[in-house]
Amino acid sequence: MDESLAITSLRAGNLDAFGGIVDLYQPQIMRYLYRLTGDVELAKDLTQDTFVQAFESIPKMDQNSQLQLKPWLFRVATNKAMQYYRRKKIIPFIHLGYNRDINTSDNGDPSREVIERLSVEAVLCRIAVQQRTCLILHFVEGFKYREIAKTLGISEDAVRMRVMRGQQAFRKIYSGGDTK
Amino acid sequence: MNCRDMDKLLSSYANNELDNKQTDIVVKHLESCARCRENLKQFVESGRQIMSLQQTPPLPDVKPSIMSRIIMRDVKVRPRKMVRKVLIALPVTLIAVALLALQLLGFFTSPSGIISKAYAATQKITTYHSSQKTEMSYQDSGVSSVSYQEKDYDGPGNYHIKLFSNGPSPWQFEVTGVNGQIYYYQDMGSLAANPATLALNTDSINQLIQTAPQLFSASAIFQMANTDDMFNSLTKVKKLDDENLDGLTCLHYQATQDKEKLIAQLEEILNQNSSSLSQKQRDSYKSAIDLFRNSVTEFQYEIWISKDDYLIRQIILTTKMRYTQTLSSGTRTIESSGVATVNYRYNEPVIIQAPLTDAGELLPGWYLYSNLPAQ
Repeated sequence: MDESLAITSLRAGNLDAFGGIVDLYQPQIMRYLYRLTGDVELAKDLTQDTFVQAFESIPKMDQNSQLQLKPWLFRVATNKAMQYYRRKKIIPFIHLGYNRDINTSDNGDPSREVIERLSVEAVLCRIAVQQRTCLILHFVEGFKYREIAKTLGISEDAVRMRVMRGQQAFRKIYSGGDTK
Repeated sequence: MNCRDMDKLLSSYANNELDNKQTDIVVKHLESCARCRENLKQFVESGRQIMSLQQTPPLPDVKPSIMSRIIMRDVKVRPRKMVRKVLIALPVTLIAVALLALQLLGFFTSPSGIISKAYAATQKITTYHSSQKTEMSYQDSGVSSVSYQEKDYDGPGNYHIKLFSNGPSPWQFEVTGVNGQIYYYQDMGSLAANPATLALNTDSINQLIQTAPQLFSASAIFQMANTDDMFNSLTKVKKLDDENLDGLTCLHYQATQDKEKLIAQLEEILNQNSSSLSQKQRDSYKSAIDLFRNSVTEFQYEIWISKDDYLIRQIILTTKMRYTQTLSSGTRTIESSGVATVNYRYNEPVIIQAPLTDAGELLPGWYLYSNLPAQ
């Protein structure tokens, strides 16, 4: 899909063009929000909110500006998650109820990688949300620090700091040093 | 540089986020510092662990819900322009809205799953064929009539609708939209001589053209209402036992039209579009609404939705009317009952042909409808 063409068509009110944008980015945004919140239902809602906002906002934007859709969508998604947490004032913990990916080996035990992934999920959800955002964008979504800075509207140095602190916190909690 | 300052660089180094100069500093420091080498290992390991989260359990496809929300939002926000809206509307949109309306009414037992499926199903509709059989009977005279409507729809502007009756006084009426032109055919048979027969004038052709994209239009009275208006005003929804229809297992529902709600919706549409209608059209719609208000005593739907693909497969509409007709000899009360059965088929190849000879001339009985009102 030609992204700039899709944006132009969307500005002209073309619903199919928007469907193309959703097809292209929905899986990534959904994964990002799922990893950020640890809650598939919440991630679903926030993903919907993100795209509905995109549908409303894109046609109103300055037509001359070169909109880069991917960082923009991740920014909106992050803001939606932050808004949610601000509103709810809660700290998310991993929802272990959503363990559909537990593949069982022949003897019925969940495979080792899955167990590790589940502990990684649980640990990640205990890391401060600002650090967690940077960790997920970098390690899960493959963003460079420069791209994270642009997406979140912060300096590259701030990203560097958040990733480092996030990784330190991760190690500490993972090794049982901190359970908050 | 001391070890404490190194952490920020080590994390960035492990993550490939250092420039050459900084990389040199780190490499040099690591050569002589076992503590930082151990620290680097930890950064690399935690990065690898977090990276494992690129794999997720199968996550749901949210696109249907996103698109539904946008369509619903669009329906609410967009001003209703009757003629324009109907002419440009996609059947898919209308069907989706109808399904959403059903959903809102609690039509489905398991909301999140079925509505997604229903919406996804409408996205796969490229064409549809509907065939409708309408049976009317008049209690006082014992007269009954049967008429049919066949419709092929292949996107906006591409359709063929045929209305006909094979009874003692056969008649036939057709409209074809293709290649940017609209053609119509009428053969009213012996009815043409009867002044009581509704003349097929511009208005009635307009009405047919307007309803072309709609999956469902109950009768001439409701041609001004869209499918979503009809389904939005249902009440007393009841789920009946599943039924098998042409080999398809179907969810089976029964519902009653909320008369007051539908009238309110029709009046609102009329008001909003008043300026774009002729006085004659306004009067005809008003009297249709009045007739509905004063005469309809029963208005009940049964709907079958395929469990396989969540598409509407059959609708049966039962109506009962009671009204007074004024004649020169006095007044008489007419009671009628009607049953309309509509069956749908989807995504079959549809060929819409212009009613033209090889030489490009109109076939006998056909006219080119060239004075379509400007949109």
